[in-house]
Amino acid sequence: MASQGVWRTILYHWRQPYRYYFGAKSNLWKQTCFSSKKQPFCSTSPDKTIEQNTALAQQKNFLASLIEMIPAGITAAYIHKGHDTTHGGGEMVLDVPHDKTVPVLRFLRDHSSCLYDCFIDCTAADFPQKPQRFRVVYNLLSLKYSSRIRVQTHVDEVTPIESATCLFKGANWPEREVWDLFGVFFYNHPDLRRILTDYGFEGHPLRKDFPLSGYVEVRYDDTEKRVVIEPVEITQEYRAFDYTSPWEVFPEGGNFKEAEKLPERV
Amino acid sequence: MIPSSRGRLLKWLFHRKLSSFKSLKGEANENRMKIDGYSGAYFIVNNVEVRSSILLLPHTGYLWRPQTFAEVTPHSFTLFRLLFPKLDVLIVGGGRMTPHLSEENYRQLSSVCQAFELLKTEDACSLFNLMNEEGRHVGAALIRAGF
Repeated sequence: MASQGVWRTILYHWRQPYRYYFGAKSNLWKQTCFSSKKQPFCSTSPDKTIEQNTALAQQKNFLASLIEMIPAGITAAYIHKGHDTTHGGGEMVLDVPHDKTVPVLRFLRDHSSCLYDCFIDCTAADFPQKPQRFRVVYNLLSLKYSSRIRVQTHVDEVTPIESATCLFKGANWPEREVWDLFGVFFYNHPDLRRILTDYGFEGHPLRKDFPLSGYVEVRYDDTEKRVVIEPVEITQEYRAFDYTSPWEVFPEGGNFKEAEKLPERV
Repeated sequence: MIPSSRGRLLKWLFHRKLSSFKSLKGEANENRMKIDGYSGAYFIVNNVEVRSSILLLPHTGYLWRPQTFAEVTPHSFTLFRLLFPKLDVLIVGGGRMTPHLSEENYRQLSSVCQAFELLKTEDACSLFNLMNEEGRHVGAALIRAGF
């Protein structure tokens, strides 16, 4: 009996506020705004129309306010996948210069209208045709405003970025991963060493110019009784493709010597 | 100095400078080199406190001349060059910071071993312990963590 009261109080405190958005039928089709789940820089207002109060518009307003507040830190701000109106808004992306990553992240973490204090991920992407080939991406989440944001920088192989570990302890291993797999150096990182590649591995595997099979292969050598590292030679039997049939053709009786003969050129 | 009695002989033996240290029982899996501890000024290897940079092989260890990474030359790694078979991984502990090699030194070091790792001494110690316990053929060249 007492537990029932406990459950009720828990549910009462946990209740979600009723949202007066698209689902709510109202006689006058007017927007009323009592939601306590605010978007950052709560830009909803009873005076605005429904269209202006959508999540997408709020995100646009938020990015505009950010640009006003930290103009030196942002080179570009856009909304990715914003055309998808069914999901109510796209993904906010900020482009920052490579030396301004930590100030911008600190602003986003600490400012009372942003509060992106949850570090989600640090990754990179390689665009070898660009002079600044690596795009280093930080993803953040604001639990207070239930909003996500992405912070991007572009660097080349030799430019270092300041590590975000001074702000987010969770950035430690993701930055190690970016260093190991791409070669982007993070200064002021407490412990920047390899995390996924083998001990003594040379190269950065996720770069676009690193081949899929790698440069070295590892095998156990019986004469030396240990594992040796050699340049890669992937052996594969010669396979003859008969394009008239969807299945690979094998000779009957399992006589594979016949299949190994080169096909006659037509 | 000619020791005149057995007591003096033992004292003389024990006071000789320790330049290499290993177990007298011989090379077996139980007496591999293990770094039991380190600080800014010393290493504790198999319960022996060593106040110097060290070179470690799976079963033996030696004192090393360069005390900071700036003093290290390609010549410093000649011990590893003499080994057969070549080391699987050579772990270089550069002290307080991650050591950085110029390209020429990089190439010369590649001829010493199959692979090498340049790390801070703290990470190098634990990595050497791990790989040695596994039974791999690894070596370590460690500068003390405070230098």
